[in-house]
Amino acid sequence: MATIKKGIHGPFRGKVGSVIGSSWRNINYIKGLSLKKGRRKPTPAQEEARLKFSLLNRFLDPLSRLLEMSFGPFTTRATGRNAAFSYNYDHAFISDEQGIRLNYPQLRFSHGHLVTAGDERAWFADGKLRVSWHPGTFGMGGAPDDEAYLLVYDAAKRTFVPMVEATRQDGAAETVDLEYELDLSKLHVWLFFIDKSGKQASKTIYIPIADATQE
Amino acid sequence: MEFFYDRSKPKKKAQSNGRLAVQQRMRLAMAFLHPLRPLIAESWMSQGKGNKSKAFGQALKALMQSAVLGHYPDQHVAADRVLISTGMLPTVNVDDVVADGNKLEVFFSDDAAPMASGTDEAVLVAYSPEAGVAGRNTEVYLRKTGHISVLLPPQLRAQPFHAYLFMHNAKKRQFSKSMYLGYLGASSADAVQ
Repeated sequence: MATIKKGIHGPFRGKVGSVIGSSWRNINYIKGLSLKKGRRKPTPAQEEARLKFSLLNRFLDPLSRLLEMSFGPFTTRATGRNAAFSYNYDHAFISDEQGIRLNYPQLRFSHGHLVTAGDERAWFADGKLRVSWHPGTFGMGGAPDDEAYLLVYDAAKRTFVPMVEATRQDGAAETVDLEYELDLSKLHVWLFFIDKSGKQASKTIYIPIADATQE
Repeated sequence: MEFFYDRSKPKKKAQSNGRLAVQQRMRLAMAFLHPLRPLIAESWMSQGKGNKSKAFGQALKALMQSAVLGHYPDQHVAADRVLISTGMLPTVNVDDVVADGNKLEVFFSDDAAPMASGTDEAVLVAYSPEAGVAGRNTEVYLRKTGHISVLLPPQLRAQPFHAYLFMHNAKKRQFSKSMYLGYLGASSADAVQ
């Protein structure tokens, strides 16, 4: 049974006959009960859209909290993850004879006006993936204590590889000790910065891994 | 009178060219000035009456009025007409501009002027709107020194950038108008004045 907390004009929560009242992020909704699912087969275009949705959503799933910070300033009501989804949907896919896949170098996890570091490099040495960038700030658009967010994705295992925390002035970071062998050709690395207050972010830079490109 | 909903009919009216032109002008101006926001908050402060947002708004207005050239849809920002600082302080005479890959150096001289002081500080800015990256000097260079240099951010070492120079007094209360030094190529040795 639904309850109306703010009188006759107020929003309600719960079920009234075939109408359901709810709220999400301070937005009040009234929805109808879902009708029976149609038995019609999806068209090829619908199938493609559904595949893209599931691919990108599954990929962004573990990053929801991070995306809330890195895309948060650009949204009002939408979640950071929704903003990231919308931003990436148009150019995050490769469609060829192998099917639809994620275009990893084109993916972006942040957007903003903090400066990127420049001179970004990634290479594999002593059983760890190491990443370096320019630690300077050049007087504008960044601070030495900006948090560096390094995302390392292992496409073979479909997991994100944990990195040691770093700031802009550190100029380098590396993966934690890993219990398994990394396949470098399947690794993807992105770097972006978020300021100390968590309100401003830089653009995302994709860093190709040096060893993998030489092979 | 139309009683029936027609799905083939566009929901919105096509916007007029004048409106689209103004929107494009605004977009171009914002894209150019936004990365310089922290700098403009100081250098246009006198126009903003102490308010950072107003200062940026005034800089934006000046850019839209005088530095966006061309006709819709081919409008563009003329970087040489952009003022990244404004004020009454006298500028300097630029003698030489040298960009050597990692560093940008400017040599200047100064005519005696009533408002100018030898302790006025110089600010040199290298900026690429395409990359959205800007760098400025982090050390203090004075008007009487006649020389200023800035270490270029790595992103600007491989691509051309715009360079600007302006002065402000020690208390950062008075600023000069910015001087455009040229569009300096990644490999060019001297500025195009």
